[in-house]
Amino acid sequence: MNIIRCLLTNLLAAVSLTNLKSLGILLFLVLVVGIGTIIYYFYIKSLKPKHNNPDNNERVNNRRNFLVKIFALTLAGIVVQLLLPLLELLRKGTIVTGEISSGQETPPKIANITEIPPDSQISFVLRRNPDGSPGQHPAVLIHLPEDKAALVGKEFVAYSAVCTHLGCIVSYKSEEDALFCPCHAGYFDPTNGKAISGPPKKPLPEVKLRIDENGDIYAEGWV
Amino acid sequence: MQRAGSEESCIKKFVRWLIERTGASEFTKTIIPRHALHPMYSFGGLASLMFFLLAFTGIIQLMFYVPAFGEENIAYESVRHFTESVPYGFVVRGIHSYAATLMILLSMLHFLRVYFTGAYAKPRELTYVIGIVAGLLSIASAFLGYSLRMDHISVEAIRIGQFLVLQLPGGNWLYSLIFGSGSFDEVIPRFLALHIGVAGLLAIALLLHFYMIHAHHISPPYDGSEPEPVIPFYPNFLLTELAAAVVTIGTLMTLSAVFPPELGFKFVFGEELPVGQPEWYLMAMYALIKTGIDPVLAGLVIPSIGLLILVIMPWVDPLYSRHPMNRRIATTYGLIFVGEYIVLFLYGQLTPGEQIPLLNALLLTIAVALVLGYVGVRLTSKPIPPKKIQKQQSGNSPSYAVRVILKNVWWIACLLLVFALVLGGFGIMSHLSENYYDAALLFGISIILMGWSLFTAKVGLVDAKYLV
Repeated sequence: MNIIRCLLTNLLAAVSLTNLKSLGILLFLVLVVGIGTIIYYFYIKSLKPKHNNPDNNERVNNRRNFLVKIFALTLAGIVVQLLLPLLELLRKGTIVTGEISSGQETPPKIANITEIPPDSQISFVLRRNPDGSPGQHPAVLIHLPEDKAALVGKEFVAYSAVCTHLGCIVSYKSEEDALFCPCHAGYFDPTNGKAISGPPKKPLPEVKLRIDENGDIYAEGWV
Repeated sequence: MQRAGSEESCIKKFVRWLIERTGASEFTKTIIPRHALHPMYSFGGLASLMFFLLAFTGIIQLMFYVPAFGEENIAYESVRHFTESVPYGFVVRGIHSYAATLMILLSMLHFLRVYFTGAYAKPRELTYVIGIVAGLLSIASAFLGYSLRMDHISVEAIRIGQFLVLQLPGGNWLYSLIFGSGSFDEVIPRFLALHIGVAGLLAIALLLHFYMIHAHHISPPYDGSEPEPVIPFYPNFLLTELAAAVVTIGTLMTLSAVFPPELGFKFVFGEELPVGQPEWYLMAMYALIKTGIDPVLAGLVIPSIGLLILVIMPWVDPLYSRHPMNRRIATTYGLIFVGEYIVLFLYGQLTPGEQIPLLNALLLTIAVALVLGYVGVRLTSKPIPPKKIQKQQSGNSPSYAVRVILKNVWWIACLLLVFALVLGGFGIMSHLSENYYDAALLFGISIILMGWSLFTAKVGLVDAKYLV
C-alpha cells in the first residue's frame, strides 16, 4: 500500500514539472483533436443508410449488456468529475471586500510644491469631467523645467490626462519635454496643452490651479 | 425483475413516455443526411455548446464578482481572488474565457461555411441574418465581459468605448445613457448588467435561429446533389453530440489548468501601465482606428458597410446555383472581406502601441482587394454543373478496419474507460490533498478519455447496423 502511495506521489511530482508538461499536454490536446477528427471522418465515411447489416448486429449483440454498463459507468464518471470541483468551489469559495468610496467630491488638494521637483509630474483625479458632468477624470500636474516656466510665466500647469485622440492616458516625459500618449505616439506641448504631433488634433483641457500660502496646490476646476 | 414477454426495460419505457409527452417525437423521426455529418457542419453546434458553457460558468462567477471600483479597484481584486484563491476558480474563469474566444471563432467559421456554400439561399435568408445579429451580439457581450476584469486592457477598452460613443452624433446623451457619469464606480455595475443583458438577447436570437433551422431543415448539399439520409437524429446523432460536448468540456478544463486565464496589471489611478491590446476579434477595427482617420468612420461606419453588404448578399446572389464557383459576386466579395479582416488583424497585431501610416494601410488594403478580387473572378470564370446523383457504391472501402473495430468495440471502450478511471482516481487524490491545479488537469484529461469511451460505446450500441 505504501509503495503504491509513494509511486503515486512521485508520479504526481513528475506531472507537476511545469514547462515540459504544458508543452506535452498541448501536444496531447492537438493529437486528441487531430486523431479524433480523422477517426470521425472514417466513421462517417463507413456509414451506410438503410444498410441494417445483420452480421454487425450479431457482432455487437453478445456484448450489448456489457457496453450499456460501460456507457453508464462513463456517464457517472463524467458527472462525478464535474460535480466534485463544482461542490468544492461553492463550499469553500470566499469573496473579497474593500472600501467603497462614497462618490462625493474629493478634496481638490493635489500636493505641496515641495513634493514635486522641477521637470516632473504627478497624477490626480478630478471629480468633474471637462464638460462639467460628474465623473472620475484622470489629470496630470506638471512642474515645468525652468526655461519653460520662464517662458510661460508659471511653474505649475495641469491638464486632463485623457488623450484627445482615443482616450488613452498621457503622461509627462521629461526627456522629450512633452506630454506623451503611449497608445499611438501622440505628443502634447506641456506649456499650453496643444497637440504637437501624432494622431491627436484637439488640445488637452487645462485645469485651473490655486497655490495657497503654505504651498499646497488645489485643483479649482477646468479653465 | 422483468416480466417475461416484455422486452423493454422501465428506463426505456420512461424515455419513450418522456419523448412522447414533451412533443419531441418529431425528432426521433428526423434522419441526418450525410453531408451534414461533415466536421464543417459542426461549427454552429459547437458554438452553441460554448454558449451553454458560458452561461453556466458565468452564473458561478456572478456569485464571486464584486462590481465596484471603490478606493482600490475591488473588481480586479475579486477577479484575482477568484482565479488564485477560490478552489477551481481558475477552471471556471478559464472555461469562461476560452469558451468566449472559441464561441466567436466558431461562429466566424460557421458563418464562412454558410456564406461560401450559399446556405443562405431561399428560404433561409432570415436564418442567416439572425445568425449575423447573434454573432454581433456575442462580440458585444465579449467586449463588455472582458471590460469587467478592470486590468490595464479592460480600462483601455472602456476608455476607447467611451470615446467612440462621445464622437457619435448625440454622443453626450448616449454617453450618460450607457456609462452614467463615466466614473468606474458607475461603469462596472452597468457593464455587468449589460454583459448579462446582451447575453440574454443573444439567447433569444439563438432560439430564433434554431427554430428557423428546425422549420426549414438543414440546407441540401451545395453542389446540387440530392441529400442522402444516413443515420437517425435520435439516438445516434444525439449521442455523438453528447460525446463531442464531453470531449470539448474536458479539453477546456485541461487548457485552463495548464494555461490559467490571463489577468493583466491592476489598474489604479495615477500609475503608469503598459499599453493594452484589444482582443483579436476587434483587432482589425482597431488597426483601422490606428491609421488616424476619424474614429467613428474607422470603428463604426466602414465595418458596418462591410457587414451590411454581407447581410444583403442573399438577395443579391443569383438563385440558380449554390456552388461557390458559380456565384461570382458573393465569392469575390467574401474573399475580399475575409482577406482584409485577416490582413488588418495581422497589421494591428504586429504594431502594438504604434500608429499605422494611412498611406501604408490604404496601399495594403487596396492591394489585398485587387489580388483577392482577381482570384475570386478567376475562380468563378467557369460554371460548374450540378453534380449528378451518385450511385451508391457497394460498401467495400474501409469495411475491414470497421469490422475489426466493431468486433473489438467493447474492448476499446473498456480500455479508454479504465485509463480515464485511473487518471480520475489520481485526480481525486490531488483533489483531497487540495492540489487543485493537478486535480483539474487530471479530471480534464480523464473527461476527454471518457468522452471517447462514450463515443466508442455508442458506436457499438446504436450505430452497428448502419455501418458497412
